[in-house]
Amino acid sequence: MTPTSVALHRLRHHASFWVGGGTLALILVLALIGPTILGLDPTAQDLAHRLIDPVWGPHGSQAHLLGTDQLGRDTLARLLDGARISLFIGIATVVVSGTIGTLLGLVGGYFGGRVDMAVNFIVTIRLTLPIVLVALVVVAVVGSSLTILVLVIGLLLWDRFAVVTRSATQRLAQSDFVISARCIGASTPRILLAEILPNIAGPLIVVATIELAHAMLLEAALSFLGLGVKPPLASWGLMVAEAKSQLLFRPWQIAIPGVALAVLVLAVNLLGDALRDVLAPEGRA
Amino acid sequence: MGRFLARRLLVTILVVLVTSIVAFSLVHLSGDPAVAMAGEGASAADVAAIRTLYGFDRPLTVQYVAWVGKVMTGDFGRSYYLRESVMQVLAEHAPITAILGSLALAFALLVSIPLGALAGLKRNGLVDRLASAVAVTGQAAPSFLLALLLIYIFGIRLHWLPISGNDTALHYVLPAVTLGMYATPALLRLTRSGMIEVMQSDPIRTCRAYGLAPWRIVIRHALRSAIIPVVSLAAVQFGLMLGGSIVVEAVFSLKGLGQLAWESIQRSDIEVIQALLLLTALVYAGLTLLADLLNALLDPRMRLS
Amino acid sequence: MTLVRGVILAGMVAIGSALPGTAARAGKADDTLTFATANEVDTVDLYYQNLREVVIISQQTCDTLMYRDPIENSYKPLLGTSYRWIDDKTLEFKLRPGVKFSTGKEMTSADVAYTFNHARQPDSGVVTRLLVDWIDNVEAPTPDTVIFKAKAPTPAAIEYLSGITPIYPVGHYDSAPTVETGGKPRRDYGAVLPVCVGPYKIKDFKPGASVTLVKNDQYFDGSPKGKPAIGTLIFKTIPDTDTQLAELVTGGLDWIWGVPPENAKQLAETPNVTVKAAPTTRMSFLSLDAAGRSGKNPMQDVRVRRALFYAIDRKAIAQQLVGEGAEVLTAMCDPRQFGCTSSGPAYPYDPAKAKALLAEAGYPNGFKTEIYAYRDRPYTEAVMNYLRAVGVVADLQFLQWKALRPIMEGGKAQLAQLTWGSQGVLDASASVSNYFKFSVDDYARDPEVRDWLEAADSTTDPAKRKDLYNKALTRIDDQAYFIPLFSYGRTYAYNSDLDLPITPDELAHFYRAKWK
Repeated sequence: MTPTSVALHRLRHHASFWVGGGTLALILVLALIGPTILGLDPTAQDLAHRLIDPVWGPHGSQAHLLGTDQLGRDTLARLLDGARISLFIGIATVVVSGTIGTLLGLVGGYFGGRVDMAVNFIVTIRLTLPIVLVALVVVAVVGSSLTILVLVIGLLLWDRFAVVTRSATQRLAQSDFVISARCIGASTPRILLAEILPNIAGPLIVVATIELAHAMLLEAALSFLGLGVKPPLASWGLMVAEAKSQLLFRPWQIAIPGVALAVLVLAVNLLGDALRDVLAPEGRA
Repeated sequence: MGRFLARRLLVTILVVLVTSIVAFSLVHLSGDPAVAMAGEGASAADVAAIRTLYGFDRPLTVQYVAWVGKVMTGDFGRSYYLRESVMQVLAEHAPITAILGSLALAFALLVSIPLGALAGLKRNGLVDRLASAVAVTGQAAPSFLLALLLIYIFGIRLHWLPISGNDTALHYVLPAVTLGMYATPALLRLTRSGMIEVMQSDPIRTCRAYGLAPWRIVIRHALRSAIIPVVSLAAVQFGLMLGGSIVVEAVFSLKGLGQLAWESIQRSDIEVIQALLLLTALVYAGLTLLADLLNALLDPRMRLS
Repeated sequence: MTLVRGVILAGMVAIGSALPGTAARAGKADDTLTFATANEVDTVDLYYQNLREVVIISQQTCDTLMYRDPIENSYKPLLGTSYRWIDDKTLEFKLRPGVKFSTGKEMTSADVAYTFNHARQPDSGVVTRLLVDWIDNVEAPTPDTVIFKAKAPTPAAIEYLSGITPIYPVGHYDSAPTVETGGKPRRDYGAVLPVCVGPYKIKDFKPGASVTLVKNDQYFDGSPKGKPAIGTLIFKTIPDTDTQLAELVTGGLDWIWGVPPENAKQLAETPNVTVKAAPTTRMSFLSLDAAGRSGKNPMQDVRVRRALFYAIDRKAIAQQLVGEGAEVLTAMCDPRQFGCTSSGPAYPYDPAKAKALLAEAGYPNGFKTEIYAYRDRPYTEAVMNYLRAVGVVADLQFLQWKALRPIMEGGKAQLAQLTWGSQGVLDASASVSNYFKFSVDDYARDPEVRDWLEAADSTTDPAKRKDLYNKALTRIDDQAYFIPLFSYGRTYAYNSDLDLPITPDELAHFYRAKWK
């Protein structure tokens, strides 16, 4: 039995994996299907029928199962359309920020000394610069697009990855197996990637799931500054943010995308827990 | 230890320098400060007059050097908009954010650590489900949602707590809870995951094999190890909360640094922004230093090289 | 302020926050009206800040020469009792005797001359230069006579002197601090707390946070503003609209504006809350690059511009999206402004005609363009959706105004959705002339229009002015240079105990309010 097959076996029998992974797969499928196949148009505006309740509400209608938004667009259609964008933003930014942050943390935590000083410098600069200011400048100078958005958020959200990786790496740098690996002449990249990285997978996965949710909400906040998803595209975070003024009057406007977001976050969390359980070898803390 | 501190000091100074230059350029790149000062309803002539009057037409390097010169003499300048010295503006806004941030962090830690530890100990139990729900709520709900819900329940419906302003100590309760929830998911889940790993580790298994009571194991050994990544994160999280406090301060109408930063960036109130960044850099430098020191205390294996 | 003093101040603020205290109470019980908006107010001197909030506050405390009655919509004498034009460029005012500033000093013509001669200086730092740039000099030949000498015939002068140009006593700005900004020292006049004649007096001012006004029992008799009834007015900055609503509903506030119109009905069902909507003078319109300043582009073709006009259902946007109080704008000016009439085509909503015109212009499948905007994103999204329905796909560039203005000035915007409040001036010279006299905002560059507007702005004959403005506005409409969309409405929500007139000028005349 290879380590891989052991891991896969454990994964298959992990409840969280099925619940989390299954939900995520469902959302993915819905996102890929999209609204058009169901005959819904997420961009069709109808100012005469704005802010309609979902079908179970007092003035709901069958024409719009989940109601309409502030421009009269069908909520269900936008929900399906937004799944794609939200997932893309979440995953893409985690890839970008995770790569940057983990690399910085590994290098800083392992080498210490001047290298750590440099990493500390970069991290502190990133933390000190206000996201708002950076976003405004990007919009003013470069304009806005989905790629720019992912890059900006990815370049702004790596700090938690770096901090957690660094502290975990620092602890591991002194442990037996790392020292032994050095003794047998393993190269530094190999030590970092093959010895240390798998052992810090636990907290790293947790941070990844957190930053995924964070990215989706940050995107919505950035939309108000001009940097987020552009109309007529939708994203769940944006739908939540746009429904703010209706919170006290038509709570379904915010509840529907909010619940969708929560379900996605829960699925990601569960999946992350399962992966962490499977990847983190025992007894090496 | 001395070398470590010296290194940190050097980094801090470099950070301050670099951020101030970068921020200065960013403020000018984000838009025309004269337009920001003159306001939306200003005609082109109005804007031009403001531009000459406030010296925005000077080259950027000249403006930056002038600012540095003033700071060297301890003069952090004046807020264009609020017409007060920057020192005074900061002195009025800082305590509110400090109080809010501390209360929020305290709330977050009080909730995260016990809940996370218990959840990690008894996986898939009731507490773990509760912890999961708390984490998901904190992650998926934007701050304003939580804030407005709390206002609705405790302010409008129950009339238990005040809604806006910072006149009394009670005014800080809802904002601290909201901001604390912003920081809780990360701390909670890291504590939980750290706990799970540690409980499966050799040293702890050895303890159990020796018959040590579970609670002693948890508190003496497991928690200590589990918390280490949380400590570093908590320190940074405190700083991150200061950024997240923008929304909380806006919704609860607290005149703190978050609000000040947001408004100053909108208005291109450069000297305030620069001073705020200086303060932020110092705070972060202090926090990361604190985190490293705490970690060294908790885990002797971590050297301060 | 030094670091040490700063730290001590910070400590005091912290301790103050931790102590139990009494929150300010609002309402009839306290004879205190507390009102809030989202903007921070840096000064209450109307010469140095033109936010609507400051106009509101200033009109409670600082009277001007004339008073534009918001309900009867006529000019009434306030601090000036009568005026006459001695010649085309000389305006003589007679002042009301026996009027006292809040300090007790009696007002004379010297004060009027001092105020305006200060404001008109090129380095006075006044933010709305339109209001004072017309003045060449002000003289005070006798204590109750003021002579304004204009640089050129200024038909809108009375409008400039009504409500937005307060009178300060001689030497008022002497106490202005000297500050060093921009590398050279300057006087920060806006930092001086106003001293005026008015129904209310300023009791306290915390920049960025609050303003407290108290009733002036010495306010002169016979003022068209009446006598103030409510004892104390408090203005607070509360950045979040939902929080303002929560405070209103729980009694912490007595007046807010900016209630989203779709929530008005439900809010009105709350006990103790009255909700009313009213129009404003703020216009929303599309700027089209007809002159080709940004390069060759489809907007240069009049058929394309007319197509866009037909493509947008302005009525739906005004009535259903912007909400009650909003009206479709039929010309590039506000209908309440003097001279605002147009005989141009009506451009009803007709997407089929729009598509036909586009095809005629050589764009049967529409075209791609960029649209700039800086506020109220949903309104721009609505416009974009109408455009997309006829094939014009606009990529939204949503920027802050300070980033957008340089782009507009630089002639780089093909299509932009802008707003303009005419700085509160009810004269067409403050709206249409701003955009069509070959200034940096002019994307039409039509010399005929410019000539008509220049003549209209400088003639004093009202009939001639009306005719000239009509010509200009008609041509603008006919050529679809700019597309006027709607004028904003505002929805006000206030304490039901309040008897307050709601006016179509985006202001709150609290001096005419009383408790029921």
